[in-house]
Order: sequence, then structure tokens, then C-alpha cells
Amino acid sequence: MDAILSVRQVTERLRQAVESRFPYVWVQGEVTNLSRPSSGHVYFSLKEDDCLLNCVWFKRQQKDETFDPLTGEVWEDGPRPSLARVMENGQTLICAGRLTVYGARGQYQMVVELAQTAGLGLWHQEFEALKRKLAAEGLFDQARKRPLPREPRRVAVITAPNGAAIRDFIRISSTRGLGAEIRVYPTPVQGEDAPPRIVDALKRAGDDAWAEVIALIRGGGSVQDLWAFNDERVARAVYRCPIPVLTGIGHEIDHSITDFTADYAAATPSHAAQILWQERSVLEQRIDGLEIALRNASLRRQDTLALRLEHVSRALALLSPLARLRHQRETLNALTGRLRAALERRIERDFRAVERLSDAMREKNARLESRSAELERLALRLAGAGEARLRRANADVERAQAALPPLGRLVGLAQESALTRLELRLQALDPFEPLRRGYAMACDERGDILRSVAQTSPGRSVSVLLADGRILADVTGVEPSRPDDKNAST
Amino acid sequence: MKKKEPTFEERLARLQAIVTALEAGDSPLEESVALYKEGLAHAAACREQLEKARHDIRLCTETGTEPFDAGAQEEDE
Repeated sequence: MDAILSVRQVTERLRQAVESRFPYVWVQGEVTNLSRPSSGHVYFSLKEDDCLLNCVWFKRQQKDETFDPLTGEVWEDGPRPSLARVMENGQTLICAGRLTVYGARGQYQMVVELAQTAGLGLWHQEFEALKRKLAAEGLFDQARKRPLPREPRRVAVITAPNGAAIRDFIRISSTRGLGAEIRVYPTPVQGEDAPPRIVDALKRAGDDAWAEVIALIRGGGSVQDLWAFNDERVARAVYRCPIPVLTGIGHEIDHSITDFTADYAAATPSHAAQILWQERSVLEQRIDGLEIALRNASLRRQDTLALRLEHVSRALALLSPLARLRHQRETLNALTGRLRAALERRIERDFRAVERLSDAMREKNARLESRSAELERLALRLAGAGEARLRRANADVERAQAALPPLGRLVGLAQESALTRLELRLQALDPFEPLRRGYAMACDERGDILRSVAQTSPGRSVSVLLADGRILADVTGVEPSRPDDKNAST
Repeated sequence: MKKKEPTFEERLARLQAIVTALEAGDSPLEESVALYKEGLAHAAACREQLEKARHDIRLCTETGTEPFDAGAQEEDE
């Protein structure tokens, strides 16, 4: 939940709220609880009835030094004790400063930067009244403000000739500008007769019409010291002046009526000098910068032209016959080089291939050798085995031969008896055998045996074979047998 | 003091214009060189002007002006 704040957060927010709302205030009240510890800071409260405002006046804000620590300017009237040293309880003061929150104590307080006794409060009211009046008349109108000349050569300075203001102004301007004439209009800038004398000086400078700008300057001081610049006559003289007026009045707090009226209000005499002229070193730097730019631009211009020239001459050189010859020679060289390289590459490749092949061959040889060795071994084994086998076979043969004659005799006997039997059977089958038993066999002229009557015819000759010879006869007739006496004819 | 001589500001403005012209880079070589020389001269003159620049401080009196020395009149009040 972001609604819950830490103590630091709420304090910080409070501080921001207070400081932004009251950056600078004037507060009037009665001094009470005054304390001056050894630190040099002064603590007190401003009281009104039952209200109390805690105040702290830090040592560095208590200006009783000879120099303004901020601007380095010398006080017009020498060192003076700050009110912080001399104030007392019960005194009524008008304090100027800012409100802030003191986180460590959880309280808000005023950081006093300036204090006046209450008598001056009246002056303040006068000041405000005059300011309103002149503003209403248009003396402060922005539209009326004239621009200051730049780097003026003729400057009128209205100030006290023996004051710190003119010294500061001259010191600061010595390193600035291009050499101007500065005319000092000696004028008291403090006291009763200061306002009319300032008015006179302004009128004189205006009448002289010599200056381009008038600087009205005075060093820092108290409100009373600077009161001449809140004088209505001075303001009106500035307003009337035909030459632009630049003020440089060393206020601590607010602008004076004269500042409001001036064409430009610088914070101090030194500041006025700074407004009028630029630092010479800055001008030098500007010249340096321009000169460098000039050189660079010129060099670039030359470079551009030189580059163009070079382009053209190079193009020309490229087109010359000598260049073409050179170019062709280069091409030739390049080609030769490539050729050689290609050749070398090729040889290298072939060489490598040969190597690869011979490697393979060597490998194969080795394999072959091992294989033939094995073969020899096998042949040896084979030879041995063959002889043994032969011997065994011979032995077998001899053994078998030994067994064969008796076997043959045995077989011969058996065959003899079978032969006899076969002869007997053969004899039985002998066609002449039946002739002995009375049968006859007829043959024709060619000797072919007649098996049918149809094989011969009357007139032809037949021979009839008998067991002991043959009979030659002629056929006189043929009678085929009848089917019923078939048996009789066979 | 007020001769035909250009002022510091005029020289500075001219120098700036020359730089711009050269940076545009379309002027012929001779003109570029001339511009460059002119620019350098302006820069040198400006620098010399700065070197020599001193304020002349004078005190206005009833009759006219006289040299003013702030240090001499210090704190005689």
C-alpha cells in the first residue's frame, strides 16, 4: 500500500512542500529564546502572541566580513558587525529567509539570511508604495526596455570614483571587450545628496550624447546604504535618460526601484562589466573555431580538386599503350602462374594417385604372398596326403589282385555249369531238331521259310527241308486250309 | 579610430560568410584560394585587434576628461 509512508518519506514530502511554498519570506516578530553557541550559528525564535517561529541564522549568512563571499566585492563602508551579533531578546526584527524542515527534530524552521530592526519596516512599506506607483506609470514596462549595444566602445560609468564598485568594474572589464573608452562620471552613491547628484550625472551623460550605454553601479551594502537607488528622482532620471542604462547595484536581496526602471539590471558592478563585454578569450576561441573551419573547408576544397585531377590522370594513364602492354604482360604472367600452379596441382594429384595405387598393390602383394605361402603349405600337405593315398590304393589293389584268381576260378566253374545248361536249352531250341522228329520246313526259291500258302503259288519252286536233306519240288496247287481243319494243317 | 577599416564584428561576420562559402564547395580553385587568404587575413586582424584591445578609462571633470586611475584614488574617503 503506497498510502503508508515512512518517516523519511513524509518528512521529505513536507520539506518539499514547505520549501517550494516559502522559498523566500519576510517575517516580523519579537526575538525570544536567543542562543549563541560556540559554533557561531545563532538560534532564536520569532514570537507573536501565542505563535512561535524557530529560526536559525547560520554563521556563513552573518555578513560582517570585508568581502562579499559570493561576489568577492568589497563592502563600501568596511567591515561591520552583523545584526546576528548584536540582536537581543525582546527586540522586534524583520527577518528574510526561507522556510525549511529540520528532519532530525521534526520541526519546521526559518533559515535567516538577512535581518533588519523593525524601524526599517517602514522603509519597506515606502518602497512597496513607490514601486506600485511607478509600475502603474509604466516606468518598469518591459516593452520600454532598450537593448544594450553589443561590445560597446563608449561607456559612461556613474559611480563613486574611489569606491570598490569602479575597481571591480575595471578589473572585470580588463579581460573583456575589444578596447573601449570608459568615462567615469564621479558621483556619490550613498547619503543624503546621492540622489540629486546621480540625477545630475545621468542628465550630463545624456546631454553629452557620447556614450553608447550608461552603467550605474554601486557595491553591495545594507538596505540603508543603497536607499538612494530607491529614490523616485533617480528612477525618473533613469527613465528619462536618452541612452540605455545598465545598473549594477550589489543588493543582497531584492532589486531597487532604479533596477526595475533600468534597461537592464545586473546583480553587481562586476556583473555589469560581464554583461557589456564578452570575454576576450571567448572571442579568441570563436576566431580560432572559424579559422579552423576555414582551413578545413579550404583543404577539403583542395582535396576535392586534387582527387578529381588524380581521377583524370589515372584514367589517362590507364588508356596509354604502355599501360595496355603492361596490363597484358600482367595478364600473361597471371595466366602463366595459374598454368604452372594447375600443372603442379595436377602432378601432385597424379603422384598421390600413383602412391595410393602402389600402396594398394603392395597391400595386395602382401596378401597374395601370404595366400601363395598358404597354397604351398596346402600343396605340401596335399602331396603328402596323395602319396599316402596312392600307397594305400596300391596296397588295396594288390590286396584285391591277390583275391582275384581264386575268385575267377570260382566264377569259371559256376559259369561252366550255367553254359552247359544253356547249351542244353539251346539245343532244345534248334529248329532242325523237330526235323528229326519228322517235321519238314518249306522254303521258297530264295531260301525264305514259308509260313503261309499265300507265300507261293503254282508254278513256283519250293525246297522242303528234312532232317537228312532236302527235296526240290514244284508247286502244282495251293490249297489254303479250312478253318475247321486248321489243327490238321499245322 | 573610425576609418574605412572594418570593425571586429564586420570581420567576424565576413569570416563566417567565407567559411560557409568554402564549405559549400562549388567555387573555382582560384576563387577558393582568394577566399581562404581573405579569411586568414580577417582572422589575423581580429586576433590582433583582440591582442591590442585595452580600455581607455577617463574621469569626467568639470572641464573635460582626464586619465583615471582607480588604484590611486583608493579609499580616500
